[in-house]
Formats: sequence, C-alpha cells, structure tokens
Amino acid sequence: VIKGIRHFLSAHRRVPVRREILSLISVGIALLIAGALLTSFQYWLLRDSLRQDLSVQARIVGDHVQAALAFQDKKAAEEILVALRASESIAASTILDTDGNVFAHYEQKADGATPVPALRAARPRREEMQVEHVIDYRGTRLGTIRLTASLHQTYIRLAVFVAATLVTLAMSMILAKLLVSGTHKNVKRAEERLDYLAHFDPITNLYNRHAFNERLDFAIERSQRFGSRVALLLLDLDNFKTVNDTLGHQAGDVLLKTVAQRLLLKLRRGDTTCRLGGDEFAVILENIPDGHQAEVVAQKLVECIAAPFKLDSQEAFVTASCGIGLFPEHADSAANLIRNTDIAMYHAKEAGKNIAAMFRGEMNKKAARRIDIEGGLRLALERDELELYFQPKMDFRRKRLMGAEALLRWRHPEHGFIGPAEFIPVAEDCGLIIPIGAWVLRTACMQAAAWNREGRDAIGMSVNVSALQIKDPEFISIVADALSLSALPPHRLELELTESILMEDVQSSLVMLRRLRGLGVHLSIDDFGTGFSSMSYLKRFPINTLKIDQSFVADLPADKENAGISQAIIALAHTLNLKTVAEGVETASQAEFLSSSGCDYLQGYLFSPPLPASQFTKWWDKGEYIAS
Amino acid sequence: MVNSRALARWLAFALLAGTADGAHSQSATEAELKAAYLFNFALFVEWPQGGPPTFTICQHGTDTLGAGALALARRTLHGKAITVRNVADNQFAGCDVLYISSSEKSRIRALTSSLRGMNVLTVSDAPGAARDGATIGLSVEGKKIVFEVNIAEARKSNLVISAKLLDLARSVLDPP
Repeated sequence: VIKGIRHFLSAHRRVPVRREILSLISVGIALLIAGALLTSFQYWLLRDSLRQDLSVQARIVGDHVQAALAFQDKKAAEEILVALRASESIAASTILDTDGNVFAHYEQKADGATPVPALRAARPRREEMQVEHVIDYRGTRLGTIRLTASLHQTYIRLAVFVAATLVTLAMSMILAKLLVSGTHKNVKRAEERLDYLAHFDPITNLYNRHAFNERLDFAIERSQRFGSRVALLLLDLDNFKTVNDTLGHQAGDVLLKTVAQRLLLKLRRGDTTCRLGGDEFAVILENIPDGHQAEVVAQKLVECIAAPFKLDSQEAFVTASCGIGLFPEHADSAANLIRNTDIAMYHAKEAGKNIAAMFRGEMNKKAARRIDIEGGLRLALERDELELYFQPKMDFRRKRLMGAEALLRWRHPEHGFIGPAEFIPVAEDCGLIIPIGAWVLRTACMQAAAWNREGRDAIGMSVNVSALQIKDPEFISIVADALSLSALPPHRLELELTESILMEDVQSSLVMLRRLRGLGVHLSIDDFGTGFSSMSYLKRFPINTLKIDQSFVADLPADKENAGISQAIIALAHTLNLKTVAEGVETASQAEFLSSSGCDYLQGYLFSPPLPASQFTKWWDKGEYIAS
Repeated sequence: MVNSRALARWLAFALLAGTADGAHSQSATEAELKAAYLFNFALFVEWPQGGPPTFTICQHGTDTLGAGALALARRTLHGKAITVRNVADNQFAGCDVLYISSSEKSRIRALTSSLRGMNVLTVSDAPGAARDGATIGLSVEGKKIVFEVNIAEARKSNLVISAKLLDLARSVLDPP
C-alpha cells in the first residue's frame, strides 16, 4: 500500500525546481539593481562630501593666502599651501592671480616630497576633482584658489562599499534561497498531504471514493481503447453497524483495517481496492477474461471477510454482500456500471447476505420499479391513493363480531393495485413508514369511533406497527393524538407487533410497550411462533393477545403438527392470561377445531376478506357472518 | 580696446614682473610697485566708519609713486573711488593715506605727530621710517619690497591693521 501511495504521489508531484531557480534569479536581479542604485547613490554622496570638503578647505586656504597674494609673497603663499599636506585627498593646490596666471602651486607627491611649483593643466584628469574658489578681500578680488583632489580615496571607499553590498547581497540570496526552499518544502509537504487526503482513506489506506471514481474512469477508458473487460465489485459489510454499536468505533476502525488487509491479500497487484465510505468497499478488476473469473474473485473476497475477526480479544463475525458488474456487458458508462453493480449488491443482500451476485438485466427492472414505488409513495399520501381495508375478527362460539384488523391498500395511478408486501419494505427503507403509519393509525381509529357512534356494538380495531415506528420516539404521541382526535376509547385500539421487532432491541421495546400500555392501548404479537421467541421475554412483555400465524392454521385439523402447535400456543396464552386470535381461517372445520381448542377469536376468508369501510359496514349490518 | 580695469591689472602685473626680470627702468618699476603696495596696505587697514565718499591718497615730498599714482586713481577701495593728490605741508586734511617720500625723512616724526588723531595711515619709503613714527615703512631689499609696521602709531591714528598684513611684515614695532 505504502509503495502504491509513493508511486501515486510521485506521479502527481510537479517538480518545482525550475520555478525555484527562476524565482531566485529574479530575486538576485532585484537585489543587484538595488545594489547598483545604492552604489550610485553612495558614489554621489562621496563625491558631494569630497566637493564640500574641498570647498571648505579652499575657503580656509583662500582666507589665509589673501595678504600673501596681495603682496605677491610667493613664499608665504606656498607655506600656507604646504599646510594642505595634511589632507590626503588633495593632490594639488594652485593659486591663480586675477589674470589667471599661476602665482603659487603645491603638488602633493606620493613620496611626500617638497612642493614643486609647476604649471598644471586647468582641466582635471578623469580620476580628479577640481574646486575653484575666488579669493577676495573686502570686495577686492585678489585671485583664485584651485584645489585638485584625487578620487583615488573615493574609489577605494566605493570599492569597499560595493564589496560590502555584494557580501550583503550574497547573504540575502542565501537567506532567500533557504526561505524559498523552506517554503517550497512546506508547500510540497502540504500538497502531498492534501493529495493523500484527497485520494486515500486514512483509516484503511485504501483509495477513497474520489480516487475510485478517477480510477474507474481510467479503467473504462482503457477498456474502450483496448477492448478489454472491467469488472467492478461492490462489497457492503452486512452487520458492521452492530460491531460498531456494541464494540465501539475504535473496534469498528480496526475491523475495517482488517477487512482492507484481507481484501488486498486476495487481490492481484494491478487491482484497485477502494473504501467508498462507511462499510462499503469497491474493487476494480481490469483485463478480466470473463464474468466467471470475476465471480470467482468476488466469492473469494466474500469468504475471506466471513472468517472471524479478533478485536480486543473478542471475536466478531461480519459478512459481506457483493455485487458484480461488468463493463461493457452491464453498462455503457462508469456511472451506470456503479449503479448496476450497486443494484446487484442490494440483490445479494436481499438474497440472504454473505454472497456475491452478478448483475442481471431484470434486477435493473426491479430496482427501477422500486424507485418508482418510492417516488409514488411520497405522493400517495398527498394524492389520497392510500386506503384502509378491514377484515373482521369473530367470536366464533357466540357468532359475534369482536373487532377488525386494518389493512393498508395502495392504488398506484400507473401500476394499479400494489400489495403491502411490496411497498411496506420500501416505505420502511425510505422512512415514509412514519407518516404513513400515523395516517393509518388516525384513519383506523376514526373509522372504529365512527362505527361505535352509529349505535352498533363497540368493536376493537387492530393496527399493524412496523419496527421503525416502535423505534420512533414520537410514536407514543402519534398514538395518543390518534386516540384523542377520534375519541376512541384506548382499550378498543390494539397494536399488532411482530416478535422479530421486539427481539431486536428487547430493552427499549420493553420501555415503549409499557408506555403504550400506559395509554390503555392493547398489544398483540403478530405471527406468533414463526420467529425465535423467548418464553422469558414473552412473560415480561406487557401484551394482551397472541396471534396464531396462518401457516399453523392451514390444513387444520388434518395436519397433526400444526394442530399440536396451535393447541400449544393457545394453552401457553391462557396460562399467561392472554387472548388468542387465529388468522387465515378459511374453512368451517378449521374454525371448529380452533374454537374447541379454546382459541378466543378467529379471522379469515371463512367470515370475510378484507373489505373497504363501506362494504364492511354493509357486511356487518347484514349479520351473515359466515361466508356461504 | 582694453578697459581701464584690465589695463590697471596689466600694469600691476608688468610692474611685479619687472621686479623679477629688471626689463623696465628701475625707477618706473619701483614707483609702480610701491603704488601697488600702497593699495594693498590700504586694503588690509580698517579706518573708523564714515568719512568722505572718496578714498584719498596723498603724496608728500618728491613724486615717488610716479606713474603708479595713475594706476591707483583708476581703482576703488572699500567701495570708494581713489584719488591721488600731491600735498604740501599742512594740507593733509582729507587724506586717508599719506605717502611721505624719503626726501622728507627728517620730518617724519614731526609729520606723524601732527597727524595724530586724524585717522591718516602714514607710509614712507625712507629708511627706518617705521621707527621714526610712520605707521608702515617700506624698503627695497634686493629685488623685493619689504615693510615694517609700527602698530603703536596705527593705534594712535585709530587704525586697525589686519593680522594678515602683520604676518607679512618684516617686523612689527610696538614702541611705548
């Protein structure tokens, strides 16, 4: 994995060496220009101060030499000029009379020899500077003093300055380079980090969803170019949430890491393994010869995950469902391949988990219908497409109607009548079961209250409750609202729950059931005996009724086993002081057997199929309770 | 076409040069040189404020300045035009500088005494003139002109002599 990351990063790294050199060169040029400007300024300053020095000295010497000049005392003038020896910058000094003729001259020789009066060219040489000052006394012009200074000293000072500037520049450059390369290093490191975060899942070190999309696009591009085949495997852990909830997130992360390691062990070097998020993994297999090969790999992966996981000295069991999709067989694009493989994966989950399923065309239709149902269901409540049917619950011995079970029906504007077995799971998946369930409760309660108000015998109303509703903290108030809105006495409402719902989370179910009982509502366990009921819990749950599943009612009384089971359930219920209801009663002999066995109430086509409210009323009012 | 000032300069230079090479007649050169010196003495001496708008140089005795007097008359000093006069005894009023010829050597003391308090700079080329009471005494020494300054006389005449001039003097006398 590490090698893969390095490879990935080195491929993505843009070497910024040239950029660095360019920026250093530009910094260097800028510094050189600054240095040149500083040097010129310094040169100007040095010249100017030299000129000022010369000017001052010319003035001083001029003042001293006034009388000597006036009286043509050459000796005195030269003595005064000799004093300029102290100034090392002055190369020569000349005193001119008013006619411009040399009156006295002094030249500072390098060997410090005595002054040599000599005529000098009036024009200064290149490395010299001349300053002239008019000598006058009380308005009378006496002559001119001309000082000639060598720029030698100035040049030496300038050279020192340039050297210092260059050293400073060099040091600045080194500093700049260090800073720049330091910044570059940091930027590079940050880029690498960002690259890693952008393409890798930090928990498992596998590629993340973003990298997966890129890789899948590449794979499909290559497949299109070379006519090869790509297989996409989508793996979803079946019960990862349970591990996370019971052992904690850290254990969950360890589990994900272990899954990643197991997957990598089973795969070839060229395969791409990704974690798409949560408990979803994806594997891209390139150059797969046929679908069978992909199935073999998928099967291996599913099997390797099914082996027990050791987490914190505990053993955890996790399985995976795997969908397989092939390009180009199953899709014409990456997006479709992901969608169809996802459909195959859901199919694998529905087909019992811990298996791999290859995508098939009809899955797509099924999935499309499911999407259709989900879309339609969202509108069904608004469009009033839902309807309640009612099936009577009879006291067989007394030939009396005791209650009705409310059953939901949906008339889809395009697909026609859709059975609850199809749309209820969809409603549960997308959470629509909450508003739909509330509507069912309200409508059923109103109907029961309406019948009661019309002067008939008061009957009970049974409503089925799904797992999601029981988990909904608002459910208790939804029930209370339905009761208060309809003014139905609470004991007339019976909520039917499946035992699998209750067993899923016994503690919180117990709390909810007690609160519902607190409202006065009756509770019944639907499909009793079909799940893995625990007798001890049965005792603790505050229920009123057990419902005998129609699978036990079928073929009664001839089927001895079913007869025994129904009798046992009835006996158990009576021992626990519970009522019993048998559903799916279709024949008189079934009814006779159950009734004589002590079953309290019966429900089934023997009496009536589920009917819309108006027909139910008619059937009730007719009083012919047994179907002919 | 040479203007007067340039001519004066040329003359002064010719005179000075003449002292060196002796191309001109001795007397003419010396007279011009003395006139130039006289101008320079006056330049480095300060008179009390005020006085007439002209600067008057008077000559007493034989004409020592000669052509030099002409050159002097063309110049200005301390912002005043220079006039040169030959004066007889007791005609010294109005003189700023009195040049006493060596012909009057014996009368120097008397003359300077009579001029005390009149702000007159007395200059003479008589030998030992400064010792005799002239403020500045001139003498020719080889090819050069040297001078002595009697600072006490200057004080008595309310004149201030520049230290620069004193620096060039052969000697500075300050008799009690």
